[in-house]
Amino acid sequence: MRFLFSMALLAFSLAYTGFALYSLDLFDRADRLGPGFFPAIVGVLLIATTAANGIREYRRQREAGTALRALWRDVAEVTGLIALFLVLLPYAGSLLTIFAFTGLYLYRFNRGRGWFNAVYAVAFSAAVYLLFEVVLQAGLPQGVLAPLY
Amino acid sequence: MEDLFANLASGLALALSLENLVFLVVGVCVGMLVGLFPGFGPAAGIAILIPMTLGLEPTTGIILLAGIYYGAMYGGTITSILINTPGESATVASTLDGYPMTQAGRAGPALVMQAVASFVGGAVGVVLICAFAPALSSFAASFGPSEYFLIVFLGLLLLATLMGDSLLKGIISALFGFAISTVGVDVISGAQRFTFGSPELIDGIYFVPVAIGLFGIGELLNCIYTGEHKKAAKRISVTIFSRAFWPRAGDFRISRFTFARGSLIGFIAGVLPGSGATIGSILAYSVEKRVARDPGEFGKGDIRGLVAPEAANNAASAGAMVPLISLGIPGSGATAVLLGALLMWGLQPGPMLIVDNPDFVWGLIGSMYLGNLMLVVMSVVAIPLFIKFLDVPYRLVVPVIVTLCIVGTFALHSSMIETWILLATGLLGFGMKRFGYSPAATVLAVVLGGMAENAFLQSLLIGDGSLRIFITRPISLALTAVVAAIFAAAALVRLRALRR
Repeated sequence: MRFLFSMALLAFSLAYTGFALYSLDLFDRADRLGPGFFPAIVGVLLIATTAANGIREYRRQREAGTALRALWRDVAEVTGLIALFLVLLPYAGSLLTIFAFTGLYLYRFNRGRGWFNAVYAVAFSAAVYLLFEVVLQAGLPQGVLAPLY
Repeated sequence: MEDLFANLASGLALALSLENLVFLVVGVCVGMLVGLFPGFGPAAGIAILIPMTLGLEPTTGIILLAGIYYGAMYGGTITSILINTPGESATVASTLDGYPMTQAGRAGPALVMQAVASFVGGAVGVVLICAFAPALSSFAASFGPSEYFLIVFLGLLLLATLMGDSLLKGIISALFGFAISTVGVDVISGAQRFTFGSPELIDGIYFVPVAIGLFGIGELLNCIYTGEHKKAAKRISVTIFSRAFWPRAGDFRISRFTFARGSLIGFIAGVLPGSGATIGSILAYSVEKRVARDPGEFGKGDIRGLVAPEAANNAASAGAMVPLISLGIPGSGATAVLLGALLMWGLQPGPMLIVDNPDFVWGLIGSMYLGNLMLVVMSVVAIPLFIKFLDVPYRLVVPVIVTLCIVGTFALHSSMIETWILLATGLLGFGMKRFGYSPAATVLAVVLGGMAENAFLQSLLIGDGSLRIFITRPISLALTAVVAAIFAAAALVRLRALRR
């Protein structure tokens, strides 16, 4: 996983630098420093350092062997729930989304306490709504509940 | 000197206004709670709560955020002492003797002495800010673009060197920050860069979602990975009404010089860009052990081994404010987030901040005096109450953190793109934390990237395209020499390691 992460960084560096060199001018028409000059320097340094780092991580991985941990699954599930939160937010609105996220999360990670989880999800989403919408007037998405506001 | 006292008095008066006092109390309480949660440092706490300061006056906002900053230092130590789990990297050194004291049945004296040491460190730090920040501001007024670029570069280099697994990973972290900062309109040519036609990216990627993602979501995913959400709550009870809760006179006597040494070392470490409270506390512990006549007692519950890092990490928190206030250059992840908040409120940190906005700067300094005083009282009297929060299992805190991160980010500009940036940088921050990179260097580079680019390009324009400008001006030459020395030292260390 360590090596894969370093490769992802290298891939980003290549994409960033390629895009910078392709779409931005290093110098303008008057031969002054252009909008692509600084990104090009950053990009070239990124490629050099992430490539060197990738080689180092590859050697390290070969020496240490790979060891996947069971909790990667939990990390993936929480990340998925956060992504679901973001997908739902504009359509379902903040109140329903926070309720759904909290309920689903607790259903998965706080098993066997149904009533507590339900009360927690309702109370928490209501508290966030009161704080951000009523007190701070943050303008959170209303989603399907918009006609009720 | 008279000016100094007059400014300080006006700052204290400002901090004592009812509104500021209320937000100071809220800040230090939230900071203590943030510090109690494992892995959640002041940077994460400040980043998550920045959106809530949008409607506040800048002085009130900074008082709230600074309260969280040093409150987290106090809170982080409580878990270090009681359950051997530092709430924050700057309190790691406090576990070395703090936890053995708890095991020996001296948790009460350890908690009280850490509060006193933190207060002394914080108070000494604030006195030294008063002495150094205005002087450094006057000195920095003569800085040109080349000096500014080199100071930013030096700060990032020090951060890269001291944090993370290696210098290489630190540099990669900083370069990623620079890459993120190049998104948006180029201020010199007006050309759009990496916006992919999205109007929401024309102003660039805002630092708050990046900071909340890297520190907030990244830390949260790391805690999930390490199984914090599966651990049972820790039930601990402490009562202040027992005689055993209070330290003995001998505890103060044996550590009377430790307070001063720790505070001074911490402050110096805090002032150096990139160094900060973690390095300061470890350095103070090492020095204390070295000067002690009985170093063998350290690690077994010696009170000096707790007082030194505690005084140091709070003095360092104050010290880190000096480059922030006087140069506009943060020295750590937490002060980088604070710098971003200043920019958000329309203030321009740098040498002129103290001249143009004296109320703001002196109000902040005044609030730091009051905050430290408040924290020492709360750390002693309210400790049993704060310890109650350790009864809440981490798995029940996760929805609160996630919701605050997302809702807080959305509330900034009502932008869904920023919430997706939050998730992307959260995953990046998790990987960085897991594999030894430095999220703090990334945030610092995001915040300072625009300034660094402008300073670099201006330097080249002034120097007719030649890099010689970085060695022809005396201050630039000195800074370039320091940068070269750091690279040479890193190369030497690597060479020695290869030979072995």
